[in-house]
Amino acid sequence: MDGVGTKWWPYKHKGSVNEVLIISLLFLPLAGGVFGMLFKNTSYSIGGIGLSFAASLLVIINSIEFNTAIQWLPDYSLGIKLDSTAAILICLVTLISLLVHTFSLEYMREDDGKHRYFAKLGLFTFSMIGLLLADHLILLFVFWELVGLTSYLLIGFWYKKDGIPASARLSFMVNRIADVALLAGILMINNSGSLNISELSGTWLFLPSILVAIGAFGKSAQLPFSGWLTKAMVGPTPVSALIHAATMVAAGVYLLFRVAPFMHESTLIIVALTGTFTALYGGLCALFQHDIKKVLAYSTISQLGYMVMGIGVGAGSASIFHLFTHAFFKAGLFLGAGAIIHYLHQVTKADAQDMRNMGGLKKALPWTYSTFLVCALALTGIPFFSGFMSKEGIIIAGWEWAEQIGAWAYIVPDVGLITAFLTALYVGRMVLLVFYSENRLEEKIVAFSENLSLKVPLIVLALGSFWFVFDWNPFAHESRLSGYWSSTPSHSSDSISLIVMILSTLLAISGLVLAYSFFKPGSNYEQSFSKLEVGKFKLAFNGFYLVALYQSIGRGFSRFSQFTFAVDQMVVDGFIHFVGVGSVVISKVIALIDRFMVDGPVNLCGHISAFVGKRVAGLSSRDIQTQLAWLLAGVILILSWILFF
Amino acid sequence: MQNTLTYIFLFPLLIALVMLFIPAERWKVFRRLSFAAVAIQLVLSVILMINFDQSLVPESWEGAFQFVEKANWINMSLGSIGTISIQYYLGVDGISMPLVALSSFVLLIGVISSWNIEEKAKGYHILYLVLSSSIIGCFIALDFFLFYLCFEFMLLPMFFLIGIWGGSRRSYASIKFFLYTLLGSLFILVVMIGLYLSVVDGDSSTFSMVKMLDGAYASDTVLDPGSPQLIFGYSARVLAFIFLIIGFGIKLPAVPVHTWLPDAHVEAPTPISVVLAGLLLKVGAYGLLRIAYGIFPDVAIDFSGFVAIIGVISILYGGMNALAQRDLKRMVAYSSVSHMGFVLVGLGSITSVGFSGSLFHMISHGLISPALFLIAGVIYDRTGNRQMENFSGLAAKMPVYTFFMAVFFFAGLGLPGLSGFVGELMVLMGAFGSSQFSLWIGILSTLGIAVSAAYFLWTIQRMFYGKYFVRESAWESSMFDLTAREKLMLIPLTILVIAMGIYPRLVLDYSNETINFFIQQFSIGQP
Amino acid sequence: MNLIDQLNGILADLQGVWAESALMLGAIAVLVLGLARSGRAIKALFLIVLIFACYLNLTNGLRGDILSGSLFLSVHTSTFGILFLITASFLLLFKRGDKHSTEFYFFILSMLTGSLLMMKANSLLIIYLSIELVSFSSYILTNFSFKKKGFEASIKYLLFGAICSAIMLFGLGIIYGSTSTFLVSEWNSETFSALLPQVGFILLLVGIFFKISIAPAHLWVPATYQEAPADATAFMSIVPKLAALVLLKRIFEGQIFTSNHWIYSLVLGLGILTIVAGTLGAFRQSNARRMISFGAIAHSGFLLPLTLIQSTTASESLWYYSVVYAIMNMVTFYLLDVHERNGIVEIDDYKQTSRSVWIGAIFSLILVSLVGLPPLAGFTAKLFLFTTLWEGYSLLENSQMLWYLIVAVIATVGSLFFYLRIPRAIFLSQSTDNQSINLNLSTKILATLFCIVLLLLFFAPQLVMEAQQLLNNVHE
Repeated sequence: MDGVGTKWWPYKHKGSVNEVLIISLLFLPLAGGVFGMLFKNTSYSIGGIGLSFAASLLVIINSIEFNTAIQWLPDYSLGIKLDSTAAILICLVTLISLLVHTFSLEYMREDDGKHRYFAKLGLFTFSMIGLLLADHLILLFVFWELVGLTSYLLIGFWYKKDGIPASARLSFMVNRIADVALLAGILMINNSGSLNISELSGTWLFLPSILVAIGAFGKSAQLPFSGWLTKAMVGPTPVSALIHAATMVAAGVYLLFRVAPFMHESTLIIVALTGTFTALYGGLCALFQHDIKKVLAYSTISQLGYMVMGIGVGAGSASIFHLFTHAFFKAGLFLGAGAIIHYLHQVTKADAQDMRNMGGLKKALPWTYSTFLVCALALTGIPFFSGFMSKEGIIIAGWEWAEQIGAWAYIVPDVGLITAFLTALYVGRMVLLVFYSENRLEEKIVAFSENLSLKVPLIVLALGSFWFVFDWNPFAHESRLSGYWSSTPSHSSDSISLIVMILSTLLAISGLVLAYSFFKPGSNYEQSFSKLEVGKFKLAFNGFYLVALYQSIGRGFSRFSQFTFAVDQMVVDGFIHFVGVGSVVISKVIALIDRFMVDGPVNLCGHISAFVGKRVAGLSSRDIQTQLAWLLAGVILILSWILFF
Repeated sequence: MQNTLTYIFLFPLLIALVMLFIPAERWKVFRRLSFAAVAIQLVLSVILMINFDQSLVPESWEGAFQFVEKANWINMSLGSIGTISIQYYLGVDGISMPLVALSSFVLLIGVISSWNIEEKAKGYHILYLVLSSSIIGCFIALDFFLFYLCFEFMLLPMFFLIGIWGGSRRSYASIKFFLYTLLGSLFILVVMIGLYLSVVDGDSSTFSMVKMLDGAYASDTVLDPGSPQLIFGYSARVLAFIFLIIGFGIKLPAVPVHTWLPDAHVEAPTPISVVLAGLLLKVGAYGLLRIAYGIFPDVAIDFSGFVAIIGVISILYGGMNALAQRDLKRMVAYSSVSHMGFVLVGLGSITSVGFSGSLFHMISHGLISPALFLIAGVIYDRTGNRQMENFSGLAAKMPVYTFFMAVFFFAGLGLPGLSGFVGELMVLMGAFGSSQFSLWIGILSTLGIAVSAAYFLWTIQRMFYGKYFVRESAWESSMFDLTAREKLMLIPLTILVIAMGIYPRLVLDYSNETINFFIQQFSIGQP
Repeated sequence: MNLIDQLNGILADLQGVWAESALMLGAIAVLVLGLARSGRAIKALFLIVLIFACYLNLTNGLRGDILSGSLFLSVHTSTFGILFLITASFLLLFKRGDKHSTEFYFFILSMLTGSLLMMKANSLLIIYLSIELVSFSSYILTNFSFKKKGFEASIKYLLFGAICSAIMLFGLGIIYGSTSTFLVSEWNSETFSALLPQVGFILLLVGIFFKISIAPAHLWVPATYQEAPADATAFMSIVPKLAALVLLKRIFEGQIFTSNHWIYSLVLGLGILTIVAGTLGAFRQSNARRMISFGAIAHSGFLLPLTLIQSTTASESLWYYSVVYAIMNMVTFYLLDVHERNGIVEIDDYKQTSRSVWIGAIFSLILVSLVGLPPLAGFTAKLFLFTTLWEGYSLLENSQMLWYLIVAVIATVGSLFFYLRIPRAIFLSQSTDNQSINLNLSTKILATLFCIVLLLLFFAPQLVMEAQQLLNNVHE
């Protein structure tokens, strides 16, 4: 391998500009965050991430490719590789991160722990870039875990509030369990050759490949791990935008994209089906939420389902494209929600995330409204927006895949289409309930000046949700960026793409129409919304009780641990005590023997001699007649013995 | 370099001797002397580390050791078995060198942690220094007799250190510790005698561990691999190996002979917990590696699956028990049981990476567990209580404390970037790559990573997150953040844990050649 | 052979019993002197007698059968003789009131004579007589505390001893009746092939085991050791026991049984039983002296197999173990005595002594040596013992040796438990009334010296072996 040196620090032995660039790209966000925390100045963080973004742009512009390896363990090197896929995704990550940083400046302005917050954001960005730079699966796992850690730390950011620590732990644990599978999978593959992604070859066996897939499912919140993402929504909203919508959750998709060519075919089918059902699951649940962040979280789950489905059906390129577009519009939606929450926090004490406390915000937050709308349309999959292009690609590929696999496999594209309809429905519901009609709060709506640091990220993300960013042709399901991650452009038959496009556009529009008819200002639903209870949709509202399932597993586990502790105390330690008590009992027995075997005969002798002595003494003290009588008796006794025997 | 090992070994003992003649009233003198003694020990081990030749490729065990010091100690003719020859024989190889450095480092942390001990300071520091000498001695002794001497002589100081300066049930805990470990060490003694009767140096029997490692058996002796002799129907070598597994397994400690550990830890004063978890457990692991695996490679191959299963059970069982604890220190103690299980799995794998992983994990756990006990000690020092339910939201009140807690908790749960991960990863790489046992052992050990996350995170949630709360208002005044002395202990540990996590070759470069040679012994041993 | 030659032979052989004769004469001299003087003078005479006996013993170069085979001299009889005499001289260290000290030293000297003869005995009669001589002195010495309990213990001891003695006498009769020889040296592998002499042999063993305190003939030990004066106990627990062991070794040296003979197994089994009984018996004792006496029983069990295995290792181990055992027991009883004089009798009483750190530490080390932990000579003794057992196993291929080894190992762990109770009481328990006990400097120095000797013998065990060779070769 090129660049394998004995020294681990690549900088020393190559010393090229590129390396300096890569290193600053990687470490600047972290350094900025740490310095920002140490010196209590947020500009370090912004500067760090800004420079990092600039560096990533330089990498893109100069099409820098980079490949090295560090000898991490003796005789074991970890590859680092910056190829075009990684480069473009790093660019995406740094961009979104920069926007989130900017947004957070305003959002977190009043918070005491904001320096801690920015340091954690920096650590996260660092880990995410590292994840993308890693060529070696173990190195990838290292950053994968770090990403999980920062997610945990940021979810638990407001650790003093009730419920938040538990949610953070739950998210981390769910991730961790999936990570165990991932690690086991990676280590199984380790035996059959190099773990460098660029050197992978052959097809993995089913077990390792399904384990790796499970790892990816965990991070990308696929069923059955989806629950953690909704729990993660207790973190600060910009964090949700960055980590739980745009970047970290996409890491699973990214991993699947990298390893899909080596996956066992049954695994791929499982991946496709998991993605499909997760998409449907997310869409269904999103429809019944009150909490705006929960709607978005379920929507993210659903969209991630699409991406995973795309990997499963062999349309990796389309999935990454969807990852890309999704990053923009979902981050935009989350930041928009953040702006709303930020605003509501200032006007009311009521739950700022509950849509039942919203309504009519169009007037109060015009910029937010318009950008939110653009992003929402992109999510819906309406032509002329980015979401349309990328989603089509996946569904078309699913259709083609189903043609090859068999009739039952049509469930994949069909569910994809149904989900598209559901997406339109819940997006329409959300937008209508949040921005239209009248405000459902008791407090009066006041005008609110949308700060520049709030506005700029929203506008950038909204712009990124239009079609022209990705291709001039709004009906292309490829992007001009596709070349970065895929060398072979997909070539689907035009008839299928046409059908799918028409179908999905129709479904999306009908979804929106249906949403309008249900949730339009003044409709029954809208009127009663502020007092709406969960009612008959409990199942979907609670996300099919996935979280409750985790919790009960956790409780069972905890109870089991009490049991093992009891075993430890009573059986294992008890055995030792038993031995101890046993020897004490034996020693008592020995003490008894000691007493009776030695003292017994002595005492017996003593008693006998005392008895005899008494008699004898008695004899000798009596008067002489009595003594003679005894003597006579004795003689008679002896004589009779002689006579009769 | 001539006699550095002797200085490292005996210097604390010398200082302890000096202490005998200092009046007990001047208690501050003792801690300074202790500090000086252990600090010099550390400096000397660093000098050794610098001068250690990492690239030495051994041809035999005889050639694997560096800085060797050898002198005849006891030489007497003992009848039919020839002369009994016990040597004062010291040396380090790639396996023991990092452990020596770790020992002197952790012992120094222990002295700093004992800074506040005023009560019977004289006795305490004398015992502590004796303990220091014997721990180091275990790692550098190349004569089995000398090793055994040091191994046993750790018990007595430990017994008194727990028994006199410990908590409320210290008497029970210390006697349990002593009995358990003495039982273990007598198993080792029996094997030692067997080896002594079987191994020859020239034509006299010898205790030389190097000769034992190189397999210099006299023909037709009990432990000669070629000997057909059976004991109770088993090959003598198999029995000897099992004895060693039991003996060192108690020290390690492996489930089900681990129950002394939680009690000893809970009752021991903080510095002694630090040394106990950081070093004494490592002596058990070192003994397994050096003696059980080194001298009996042919048996070890047959038993590796068994060892690995014990390891897996320890990992999961220890982890489950840690989850059930409410006492912070007891939780950490059980986590030690769980972590030492990884060492067993690594040993069981009989692969180069597994062995390296075990060694690395020993070093890494030797840094993490002392830190965890220090962290438990902080809260105990302030309040005299360690029950988790009595504290909540400490993060708000003690941010620096929380920071260090987080570093070491995450190191404990195997977060990449910290040393705990590397050890676990390498052990697992070994386990998955091993031809000795089924894949499931690897998968089950991997589950241990999730279990450790469960108990550490739950502890964080219960004690550090949430609203600030302490059970007794009297504690309120003492809930201040870390003092300078506490930071002084935790910062070096943190630096090392991070450095080793990022750059594991810090340790592995020392051990690499030795372990590669070690593994070759197994391929030779195989038919 | 004419009468003159025979007489000359006897006269020449008398050199072999000069030490015993000197002791006997010395004993009488002590009694005579006791009429006029007491205290220091008696002690001085006692010491002179011992030194003189030592000298005679050292210069005696005779080995092998003497006096028509009634005695048998060997390396062991000469070196152990010196050991016994030195042990006896240590009795002077004990504090002893002037009352009855004359009689005390008289009986000690008689016991010493008996013990030396016992070791050398080759004739069944001498065996019986010497054992009786030792026993009778012991019965009386037990009573020397002049308390009711001491009298009780003495009576128990007497009854027990009388029974054992009777049994042994019966056994001797049977052996003589069926082999028509009194001489041990004439026994060979065919002597005990029939059942009857085997039974006789077992009965003989009862008498010897009574002296060694091998189970079940150990029952007299706790009460006796507890009630007898400390110095007498120290002496009784060392000298007669070791003498009987040497005798036993001498008997088994004749290769009269093969290693898988049932008598062999029986003896090993009884040894195991002794270890178990001694160790377990000590667990629940509350009296310190009684606990130590159970420990001494266990030590008898540890020593026993060394007499059965016929190898140089075994004899050297026996020598080493005996020397170390003598030192350990002497200093233990010395310290117990010192404490008892301060009213510290029960183990719990030691809680009051926590301020006497130095003596506590020394005491702890001595007890740890009794357990057999490094770096004290007690460990080396156990190490040699275990080595001998291993070797015995591979030499004799007798798996009982392995069992013995295992039991010995486990008992060592067990013994830790009870021996540690005294250090625990001293250091680990909190007592409100911490008073310093009254110890003078000489006690401390003495105990420390003993402790240093035990350390030294760990680090240089060859000293003991070299001493043996030295003592054996002085006469040349």
